[in-house]
Amino acid sequence: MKGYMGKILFVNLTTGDIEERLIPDHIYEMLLSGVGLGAYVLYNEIPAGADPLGPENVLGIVSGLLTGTGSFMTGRWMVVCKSPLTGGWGDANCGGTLAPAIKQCGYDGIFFTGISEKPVYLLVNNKGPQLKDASHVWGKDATESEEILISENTAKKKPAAAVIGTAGEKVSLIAGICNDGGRLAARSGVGAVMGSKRLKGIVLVGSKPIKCHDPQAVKLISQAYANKIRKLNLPGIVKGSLLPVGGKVMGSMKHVAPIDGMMFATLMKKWGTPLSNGMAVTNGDTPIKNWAGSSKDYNRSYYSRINSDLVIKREYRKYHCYSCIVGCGGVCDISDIGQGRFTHTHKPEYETCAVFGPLLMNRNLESIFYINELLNRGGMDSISAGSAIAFAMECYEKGLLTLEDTGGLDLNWGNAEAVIKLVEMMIAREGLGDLLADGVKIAAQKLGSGSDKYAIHAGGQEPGMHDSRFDPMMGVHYSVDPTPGRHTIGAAQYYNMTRLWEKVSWAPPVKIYPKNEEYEATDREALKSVAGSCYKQIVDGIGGCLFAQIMGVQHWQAFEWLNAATGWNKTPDEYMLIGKRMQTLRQLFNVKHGVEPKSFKMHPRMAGEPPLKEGPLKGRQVPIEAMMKLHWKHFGWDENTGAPLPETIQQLELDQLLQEG
Amino acid sequence: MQVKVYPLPFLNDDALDEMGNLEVPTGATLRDVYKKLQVPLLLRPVLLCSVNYEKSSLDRVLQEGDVISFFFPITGG
Repeated sequence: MKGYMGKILFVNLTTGDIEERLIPDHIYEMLLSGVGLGAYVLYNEIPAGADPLGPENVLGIVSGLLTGTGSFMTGRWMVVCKSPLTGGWGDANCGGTLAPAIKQCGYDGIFFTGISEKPVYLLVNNKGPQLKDASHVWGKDATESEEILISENTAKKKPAAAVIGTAGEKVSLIAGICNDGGRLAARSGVGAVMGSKRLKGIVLVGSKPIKCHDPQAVKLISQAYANKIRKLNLPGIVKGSLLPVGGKVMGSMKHVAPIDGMMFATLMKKWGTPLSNGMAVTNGDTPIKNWAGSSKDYNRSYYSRINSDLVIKREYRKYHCYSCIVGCGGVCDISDIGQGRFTHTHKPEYETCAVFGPLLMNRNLESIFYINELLNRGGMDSISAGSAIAFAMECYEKGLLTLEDTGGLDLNWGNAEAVIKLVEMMIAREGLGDLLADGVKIAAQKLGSGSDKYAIHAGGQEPGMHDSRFDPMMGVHYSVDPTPGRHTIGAAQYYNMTRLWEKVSWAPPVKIYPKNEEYEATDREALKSVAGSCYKQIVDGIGGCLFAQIMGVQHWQAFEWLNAATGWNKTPDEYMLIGKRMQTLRQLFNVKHGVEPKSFKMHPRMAGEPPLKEGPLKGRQVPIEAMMKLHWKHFGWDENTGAPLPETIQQLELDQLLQEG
Repeated sequence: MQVKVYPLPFLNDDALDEMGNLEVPTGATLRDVYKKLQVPLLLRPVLLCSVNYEKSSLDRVLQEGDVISFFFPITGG
């Protein structure tokens, strides 16, 4: 009765054995659920040096501790594994409807090891779990496969399902796992691991109740939060065309203020994440032309064509993920694009718009909608896929790729038609697409000729579409997180809005401050990045949404919900210690597997080497090595190597915990 | 009494404590808070400001614990 189910399902795909494992209460109290539970299982189960695509790797699909308890915006499901993209800890998360279904089947997570001889899927219903033949859906795209598996297994209740597309089947290292008709847990190559196991999907039809300690207290916190969100609406005068103007103002400001994160909800309710499409170009947040351009290149004649209003013009239905009260999702009509091949697609996220727009100098919004659906069905990460194409375009420009190499595709910047074709080739692993389907790091290794200069990544993973020269703390997290290159971990902007200092004793408070402070490697900035990192672990332990997190701890009351759901009555400082333990365990996983944390340092171009010559980020440089060292130091990790120090491991009681495992 | 203020980057937050709290006399209005924050007169008509997440006029009389937020463009996602 503490919000979690207390057990996991463990499936050996080589032998077909399926077992339930009980998880003791103290594991949850030390690591929460979600990614924390996943780290505990994977650290103990995967032997050092295991091949990420081999039978020893373990793939976990986990839910959050608060999922299904009556708390809001805590319905994300997460995937954990050893990443074939980075060689270390890998995770990805996604919204939609799958997370509560895992718990309704009686589990906090479902873990897979081994490799099946033939394609299979896992069905869990009230009769129990069983592996079933998936030959009939192998080779089909993710959306079609999901529809078939759901249809075949619908009795009284419609199941929830997660599947891989053909990219995962073909073990593309940038493949993700899909649910709800094309929403992806996209990052870290989790789809490649699932494909390597010949596991097409999971289908869940449970009806077990999710019980917690004090449901009435959970409800009261939820109601207070909902009352604020309901009131929030943008005045009609705020149009999408005004957002880039706001971005310009923001980009030119010499100071930063800790604004009310609730204001973000007003924008999200109206546009969803494409709210940033033009605004992030003009303020400097969006990387342009493979991180070498600026808003002088991708100017108004470009960004006005991918404007937020133009995106929602195609939106005919809005939707909410499970337990969400903002509802940033949408479904868009694309029946007039691509000769009617697809009728609709999920509203493309900002990340997809940015990576297939400004990063490629593409201003054809229709192509972005079409590519969005291709990737959703193929089951491929849009951030990594677009970044790989940006790499190819720059190599083409520099003469490292020729028309012969591209199969006749003219890879000039902004050629939308060529980009569509190349995406199709990547999903099918054909021609140049085969080279790019494993991400930029491997593509550059295979291509050689100094092409690594144009392969923008951190530790093997392509970064999100938020420029570290705009928000240096974003660059720190790109470089120090055990899963590098993620834009969802932390940033100065996130920290300022999350307002941890209101509840956590050691989190530095923020008032209005000069923007230049963000570019200095100081103990204060490091403490902020450490606090952001610890809190993000808590969010991933409870199934929380990043957009709820950045509304602020005074609004989205994760600590209070946790106490109400579990009865633990811990202080925010105690929860932050759990976050620190989770993050340290993820780092220990990397150390165990021989990953050198230093090797995750982001590409020099992302740190302003060489500096941009124009635009809002002109001349901006990030002292990333010094920042990484300070971050590690304040985490209690070796400031030179990034390895957790023995005294930190002891203080976090991880030594005892790992001995038990 | 205290109200909570989330200021904009170009305002003056000297009167706020680290939690964003501002001491104002009973009967103070939103206009009084604008003065303390030194909101430029020219900008007053165009700033989008809410009290307790509802649109409010500058003459609104504030209550203990009221939350004053300004809309500001934020990128993310």
